[in-house]
Amino acid sequence: MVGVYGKRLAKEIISTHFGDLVAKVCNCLLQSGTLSLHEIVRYTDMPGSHVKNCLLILIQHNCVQAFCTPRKGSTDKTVTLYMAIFDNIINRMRFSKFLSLIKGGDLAPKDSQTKEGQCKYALLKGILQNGRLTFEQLVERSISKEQQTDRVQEKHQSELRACFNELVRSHYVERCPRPEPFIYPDPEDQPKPTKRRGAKTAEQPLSLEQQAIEAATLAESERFSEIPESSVERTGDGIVNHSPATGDKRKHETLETDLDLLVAIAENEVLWRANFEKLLYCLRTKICAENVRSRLGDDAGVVFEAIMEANAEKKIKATIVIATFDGILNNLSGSMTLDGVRTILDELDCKSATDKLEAIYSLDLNATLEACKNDEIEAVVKARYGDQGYKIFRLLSTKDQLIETDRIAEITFMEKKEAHQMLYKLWRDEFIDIKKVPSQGSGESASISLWRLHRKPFYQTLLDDIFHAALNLTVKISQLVEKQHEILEDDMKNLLKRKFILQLSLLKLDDSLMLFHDF
Amino acid sequence: MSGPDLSRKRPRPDASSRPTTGAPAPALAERDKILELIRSRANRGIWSADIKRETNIPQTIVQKQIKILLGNKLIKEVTDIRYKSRKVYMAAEFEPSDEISGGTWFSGGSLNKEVISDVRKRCKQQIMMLKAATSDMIYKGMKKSDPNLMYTMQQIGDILQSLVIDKEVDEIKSTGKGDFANVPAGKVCYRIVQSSRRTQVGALASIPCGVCPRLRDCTPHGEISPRNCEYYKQWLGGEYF
Repeated sequence: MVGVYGKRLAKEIISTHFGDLVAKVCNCLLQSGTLSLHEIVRYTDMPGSHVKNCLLILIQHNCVQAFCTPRKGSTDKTVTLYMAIFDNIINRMRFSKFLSLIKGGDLAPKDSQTKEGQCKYALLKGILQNGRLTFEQLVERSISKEQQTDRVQEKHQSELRACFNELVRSHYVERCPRPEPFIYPDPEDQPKPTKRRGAKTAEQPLSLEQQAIEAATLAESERFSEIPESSVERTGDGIVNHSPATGDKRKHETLETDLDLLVAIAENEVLWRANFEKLLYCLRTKICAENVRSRLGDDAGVVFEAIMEANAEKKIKATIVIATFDGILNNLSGSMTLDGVRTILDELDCKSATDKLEAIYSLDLNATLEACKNDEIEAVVKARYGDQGYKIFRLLSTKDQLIETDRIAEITFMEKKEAHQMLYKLWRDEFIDIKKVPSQGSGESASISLWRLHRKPFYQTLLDDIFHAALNLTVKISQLVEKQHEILEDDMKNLLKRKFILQLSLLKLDDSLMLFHDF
Repeated sequence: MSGPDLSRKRPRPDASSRPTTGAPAPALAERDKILELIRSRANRGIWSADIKRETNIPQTIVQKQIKILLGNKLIKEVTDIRYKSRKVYMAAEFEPSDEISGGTWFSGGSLNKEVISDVRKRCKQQIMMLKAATSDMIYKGMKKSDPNLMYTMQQIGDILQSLVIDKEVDEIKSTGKGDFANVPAGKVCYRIVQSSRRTQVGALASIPCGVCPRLRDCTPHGEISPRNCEYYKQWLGGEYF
């Protein structure tokens, strides 16, 4: 459930990237949920053509999904509905992070940049900037940046295809989902599903929006189906070699034609987009590996990354990661001994099992994710309440049970009065919960205060604060951009420096946002 | 002429029953009663209001008698760490219990920060030497380097807990390998936290909004807004921003 500030942040991002009109349409969908074109026109009070154009832009950039559903009260008429995809809007803040994941790309250190890395970087950048493109459009984009002869262009296209297929193989890029899938909103009318991705149990009905996303999603094999080589490229020298027998020649020609048609479709008609699921998986690996490194050392961080890379099912929300021992070793550079690797796997609390004589390790990411979240929360508590508040919070966080005031003062080596005052401050600001129990023994109506940290409601409050802070940073950056046109050149350097600080802070805050919202 | 008429004179009390202070007998009885009550509380002491309630002696007389007993050094006033504003009295021959005094870590009713800091430092030294150690190992190490160590295992355990809370030390289960080679696998032990981790500042905490007391009142175009925020101006360094 997205809070108020999450939606405001999404609106601000769309406004900054596409302008106020598009932001108005997007905000309408964010606030009101799934709507038809007619309803959007009514709510936004904008001309129909403007709304259509805005929707096209949002769909192009994967921020809105359209779907068809039977019109209410009618059996043969359908209506197209539009829904905002909040997560994809927020992902727009992360493009530079996504690009930094490309090894050897432009954001890698100079000495580790490779031609292939730079090629992949340019392709992914083109896709992120434009939302969705065909391969042909990517090639045109690349060619237009460099002045090349036809022969060079041909070779360049072949290299581009190789890099592009590598991106598809690594799941960084995927085929776009179905543009307007048809769904049945009533469960009784639905045909029996052959495979339902996302639904954990048969009893939990999916919401309309979840059904739309699921219906739009292509099957895995189709989603990451690469662009095949044309028949010309397969022979390598442009000359078609075939058997002199007439029947075989005709069959071969037919096959070549089919293949070329497939290639033409894949290059000119299939739209491709960034696969945010994979990109977020990589970012999650990065953030968790950093935490593991800080707690257990550099070697542990390296082994952790190897486990995540060797994991077959790279689902962003999955917290159990499974990898074979051989797979883990393949992703290490060979600098560690087998015993060393096993020692670290034990330190990471991996469970081992054997499957068909192969050693398999499973890692529960919950502990690492909780450690990351705790670090973030404790830093906020320390900054707001000082060392005393921090100690009390740490105690309640580690113990995860009800503790009496006196005992808290005792364990934290604090004066009872100070402990009492701090506990009330933390409770007043909704960091902790209180439970009063009647005190036994004394004749008066005294009560004992017991304190506890309740994570779930607290996480939601904190997430809203993070969204709010991100919105504030975004607004502040926009304000500085407006000022750029007003100030003198002498002040420009200072302004740009401040803008850079704000942008870096927003990128860092986004890591926390991912921790509490996306991971 | 006969002597004065003794029958008309007020009878005088017996000289042997008169106390040496010269106080009347009821007052002495009251003082004794109060002293006995205080003694009966041994090392727990008793609050002055409780004395009044249990003896049924008026407050002013209780105060007066306590003053005399204090003057005669038969009782002493102690601070109850749980109720610092109360006057608690104890017989002179007793020492306050840990419940009253606060235990080893308190002195004169306040936390003895120097002592606590010293013990924490010694615990950390032991852990650093051993790389990873159980509380048992730490205690034995401290005893070895200081045979006169006067703290119990329980007290060292309290200190270790405070180090864990302050994130100076991690409490983890041993794997029995690597740094944990000296600790049997599965046993709870302690390891020093790397300094880089202790100095990490969270993302939200490093910007003004993270510590702002008015965050919930702030809106993009409201009276309190990032556009005119004083905290942002200070953070970015300059009136202009």
